[in-house]
Amino acid sequence: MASQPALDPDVDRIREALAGLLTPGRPYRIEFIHGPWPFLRAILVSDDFEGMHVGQRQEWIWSRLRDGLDAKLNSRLFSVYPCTWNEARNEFEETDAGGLRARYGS
Amino acid sequence: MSFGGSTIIERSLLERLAEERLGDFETLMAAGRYAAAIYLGVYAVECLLKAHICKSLDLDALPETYEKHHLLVLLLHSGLNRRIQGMAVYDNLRKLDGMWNPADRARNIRYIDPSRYVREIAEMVRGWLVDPQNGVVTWLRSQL
Repeated sequence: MASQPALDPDVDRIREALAGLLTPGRPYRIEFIHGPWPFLRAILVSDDFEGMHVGQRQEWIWSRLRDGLDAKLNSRLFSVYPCTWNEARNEFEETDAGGLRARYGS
Repeated sequence: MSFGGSTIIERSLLERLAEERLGDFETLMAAGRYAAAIYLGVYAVECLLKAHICKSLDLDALPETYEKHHLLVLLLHSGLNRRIQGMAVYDNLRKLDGMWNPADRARNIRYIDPSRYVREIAEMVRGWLVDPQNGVVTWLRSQL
């Protein structure tokens, strides 16, 4: 499960669109995990999601991305997993390559 | 029915299972068992996607290689991926997927604290599933 795909300009554009959803100036982290090529999954870490339940977070993200990403990029983004910094610390760990991976895989 | 240790999952069974699980979704919603309701509602989507894989491959039963649980991977194999692009129903499918399928495909609702799923979420999920215009189940049924 590699993160941070290299030499893929779409990744930077999707990252920019995701970052643009968040409150300016607030710390965030965006990591990509490959789905089946060419599809991408994103982990979006920000305390903007504090107080939002899991369903609200999904509604919040996809209602905004509908206008924030062109059709090609939208079709490449398979799923987005939003979490707060606290949740990210509990659910993910750093990889040697500087990415994130789930702590509780099976 | 089984053969050589493998269970044969027929397309007709998958379609019936989807309807059964949707019935379970409503029963559990009425009983206030929201996490379990969502789990079975999404399972209905999984069954319908697998029925679509059988359809696209012109098979009466699901090949073992497709006994997977990731909704968007199943969508790819169903042959519906291009058709669903740009539609609100696709966003709804991604919302269902994103609720519990992040970095690790093994993590899902079965391991998440049920108290995180309250009525408000379950009602939202009901819309994602069976909204007459943009529900995932509604759309998948219409394509079968």
